Parts: sequence; structure tokens; C-alpha cells
Amino acid sequence: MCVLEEPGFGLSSNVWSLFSLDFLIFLAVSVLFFYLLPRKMQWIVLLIASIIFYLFAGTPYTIVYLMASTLITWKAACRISDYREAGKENYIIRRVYLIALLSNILILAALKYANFLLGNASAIVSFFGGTKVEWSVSWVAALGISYYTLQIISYITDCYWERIEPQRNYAKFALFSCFFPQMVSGPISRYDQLNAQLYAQHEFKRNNLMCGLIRISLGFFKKLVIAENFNRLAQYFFDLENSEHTYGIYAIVGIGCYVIELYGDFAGCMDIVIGSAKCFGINMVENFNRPFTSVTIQEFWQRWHITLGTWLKDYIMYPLLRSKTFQKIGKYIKKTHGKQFSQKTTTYLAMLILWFCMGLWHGGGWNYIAEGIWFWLVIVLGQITEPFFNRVFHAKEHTGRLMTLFRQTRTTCIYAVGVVFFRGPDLTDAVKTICRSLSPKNIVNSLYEFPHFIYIAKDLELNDGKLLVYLINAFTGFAIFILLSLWEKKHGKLQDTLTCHTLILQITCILSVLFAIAFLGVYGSGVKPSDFIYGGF
Amino acid sequence: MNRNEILDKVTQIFHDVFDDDSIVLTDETTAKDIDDWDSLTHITLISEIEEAFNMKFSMKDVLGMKNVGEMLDILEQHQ
Repeated sequence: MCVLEEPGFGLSSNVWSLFSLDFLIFLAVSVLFFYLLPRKMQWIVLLIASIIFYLFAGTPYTIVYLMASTLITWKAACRISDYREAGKENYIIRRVYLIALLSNILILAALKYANFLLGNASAIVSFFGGTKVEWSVSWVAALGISYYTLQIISYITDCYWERIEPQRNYAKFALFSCFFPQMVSGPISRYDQLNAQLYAQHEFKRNNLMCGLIRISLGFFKKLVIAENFNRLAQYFFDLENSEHTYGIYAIVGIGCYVIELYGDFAGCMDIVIGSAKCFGINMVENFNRPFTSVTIQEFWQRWHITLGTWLKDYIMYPLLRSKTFQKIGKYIKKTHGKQFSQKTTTYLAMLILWFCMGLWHGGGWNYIAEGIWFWLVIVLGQITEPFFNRVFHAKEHTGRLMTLFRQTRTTCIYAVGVVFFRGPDLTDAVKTICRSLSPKNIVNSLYEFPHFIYIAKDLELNDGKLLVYLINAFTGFAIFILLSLWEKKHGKLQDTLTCHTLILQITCILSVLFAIAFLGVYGSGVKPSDFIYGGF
Repeated sequence: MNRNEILDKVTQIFHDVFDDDSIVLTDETTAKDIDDWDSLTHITLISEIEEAFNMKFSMKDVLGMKNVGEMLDILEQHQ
């Protein structure tokens, strides 16, 4: 049932994306050199591979930005440590830290948010000046800048907080900043999690390699089977939604497909990243932990893009809550409204800033910020109303399977609303989609029409004859994925469980996954796979 | 104040913050052992302890404490 539009095996036209054949060849060559050369040179092999990857995967000259960020941060971290040893005043150490921090934020802001800031500035000038002004720049953002900047900021902050010792060797620090598997989509690693592994000498272990390859094959399955099929389905439903049949149900189903696509895409990408690192014997931190089993949206964000959530908590929310400004605000509110109210207000305020940053991190656009504010609103309202619901419905006593399923579905629906903002393209469009989808009149009308959507799509020339194929492949792939998840819940991760089995079983597992991809996946030289959604950050 | 007295005082703060008098703390108690101990209540807890003991945890301590035992160690050092 594969969708092979033209003969050939061109997985991607985007050379050096994680998901291209070129990347797999590059990975294989790197692994070969890594284990063949003397062990003390292993970290150098990784550094060279990372630089090559950076030059070929993105726009080569943007390596200058990466070098600038790493050089400033590395030097500042060493200086902070030297000054501390020399017994210099705290304000001098703080000044060095702030210079490094602000330099990184400025580089990120200039490259990623310049047009957002200029767009807002021109809108304000146009509003007050009466004439239309449009300012914009066309700078190319460095590959993975949102990921490596956060990683570098966590490093310099941890040095400043004395949680870690600075890395005195610039080349080694550069490797931590640009380790190639994590460059495109994270996870956002911490220095204390990764440093010992990056610079250690790794002996070749078959299990590491097989474990990595199994994980990579599962990543390809999630991307090519789940994400790509659901991407096509989502597109059909959004096209239907935009046709004269403007019925809410299409948008709802489209968003549902998009949520699954987003998960398949990002979780698949993480499998490839973590699997690639495993081939070198490096264990990277997990970024997903079965997010759709969450019963609250707060829990969801502890299971989805985990490293971003913990980064924002550790480096934005905690420092804010412990800052002098927040403590002054807290003391003031405590005098007027009491202790509990003061604690809650300052926490909600810090959370508002956290979620604003979470939205902004995803992109320079008000729709992204609205996404963050939406989640903040849901969490805060949930916390405020929790005592009431507990009292009225005795919610804490309702812990049965049905109740859990209801809460999981509710959490997924709340997340799906956030995804509408995330998908954009702008805030107005997102709000329109939500209003249309939730209009009871639209839903009732479309319920009659929905079962015939394949014919409607054909009438509107939206269906090129493959809609049914995508539908069958998507749901078959999804069913396999659910079964695997249930199995993993009981037995642990597939690749880890297989480490104590024979090589033949491990190879059979990889071949089975490839077989499933061959039958159910969307690939072929005529097919351009969608880019990794989280790769654009 | 010896370690046991510190533990008693900290236990009282835990009872107040989590509104649960049945909490019994040991050196090995972690956030996983107490239902509502999440990232938000963690900061409330830290502030309450700081106020009660008239001291201030560093960010290294706030992020690095792995269990109640480590918290007590830091409080003991500040005596």
C-alpha cells in the first residue's frame, strides 16, 4: 500500500535533513570513524562531524553566529570561575554573567525575532502616523539557534550558580553546543547530563549500535507512516474546510489529524536523534513520555517537549519567583490580601511570563504567544476552580478508568485548541478556525455531510485518488503504534528490552519496522516529505 | 538546633503547605512521595522554610536538592 509516485528511493529532497538518506550515510561514516580511530580522538571525530553537519544542513555562513555565541559564553564562564577563585566582588562576576547572557539573547532576538519586532513597530507607527510603514529584514537564522541558545544559556547560568565547573577547552565546549544529532530539533541538553559522555572514551558495544538502529527505525516509522499520512489527511480536511463547504467538523477532524501528525513528527525526530547518539554510546535525555496519557494540561507539558518545559521552569520561573522584584510584589500583596493570595498571585504572574516565553520560543508571531497564554489560562483557571470542583463533584474520589479516559480526552482537546494557534498562519486565522469549528450550527449541518467526505473531496477535485489509501495507512500505522505503546508500558522500551536478546531478533525487529514503512509509509522520489515541524525553530 | 529539631520544624511546614498532617518525612522523602509536591509548591515550600529559618537557599540548592535529607543538610549548615 505504499505511495510510490515515481520509481527511485529519494527519501527527501532536503539534503542533510535528519530524515534523509544522506544523513543515514553521514551517520554511518561518522560511527565508523568514531570506533576505528584511537579512543582519545573520539570527541574530535564528533566535533568534526558536527561542524560538517552544521555547514551542510543549514546556511554555511551562519556558523559565524554559533561561533560568536559559543566564544562569548565559553570565555565568560572561564572568567566567572577565575574571578570567583580570585575572590572578586559579586557584582563584577554578575556583570560578566549578564554580558554573556544578554549577548546570546540579542543574537537570538536579532536573527529570529527581528521581523516580529519590526512588524509590531511598523504597525504602531502606521497607527499613530496615519501612513502605512513596513519595515523588515531578511536575515537568515542560524540552524537550531533556538535550541543551542537555550543550551548555552543554561551552561553559563549553571556556571554562575556554581552548579557546574566551566569547560576550559573551547573545542570541547563547542562540541557540547553543536553535537550534531541534537542540532536540528533538540532535546535541549544540560552540560552536567552530557559532558562526561561526550568526552569519554567509548568502546564499541553491539548492543548500543543495535539499540540506536532500532530507535532510528522507529523514528522513521513515526515520521513516514504516522506523521506523513496524517499530514496528507489533515491537508485534505483543511482544504475541505476552506472550500464552499465551510463546516466546522472538517476543521475539528483536520486539527485532530494535525495533532497526531505533530506528535509523529516530533517524537519520530527525537527517536532519530536519541538513536543516533546511542550509536556512539551516548545516552541523551528523553523529550517525550507518553503525553496523551496526561490527565491535566500541566501534566501534559511535563510529558511533551520535556526539556523545554524544565528549561523554562529552572531558568525563567524559579529565578523570577526568587527575584527581589517578585519578593517585593509578594510582600506588598501579603500585607493587603494575606499570605496565600500573595503566594498564588506571584506564582501565576511568574507562570504568565513562563508561558509567554514558551509561546515566543516557538516563533515570532502573536499566534504563538496566544498559544502560550491559552495554556496559562487553562492551568490557572484549573487551579482556581479545583477546590470548588473537588467539593461539588468529589472529584478526588473519581479515579476509575472511565474518569481517567474522560480527563485524558479533555486534556487532548485543550491541547488541540492550542495547536490551532500554533498552526497559524496568524492569530486572526486561528481564532476564525476555532469559532467555525465550535459553532453548533456548523457541527450539526456537517454531521449529515461528513460521512460522504471522500466523494465531496472528489467532486471538489481535492481528492487525487489517494485519500482512501492515506486513510487506511494512517489508521493502520496508528493502531500499530498504540499496540507498541501498550506493550512498552508493560515491558519497557522496545530497544532496551531487545538488548538482552539475540542479534537475529534485533535485526528481525528492524526489518519488520522497515517492512511496515515500505507498506504503509509515504515516500518515493516524487514525494516531498513535510519538513520536521519542530526543525524550523 | 539539632537535626531532629530541624526535621520537626520542616515537617510542620510541610503539613501547612500541603494541608496534610499525615505527612511523615524521612531523609529519603522526595517529591514523588508527596502527592501535590510539584514545581509550583516546591517554590512555596522553599520560601516558607527560608522564612522560618531566616536563611536563603542558593539557586544551586533550589535546583540541586534531591530529597529531604539534602534539604536538612543545608539547613544544618546554616545553623
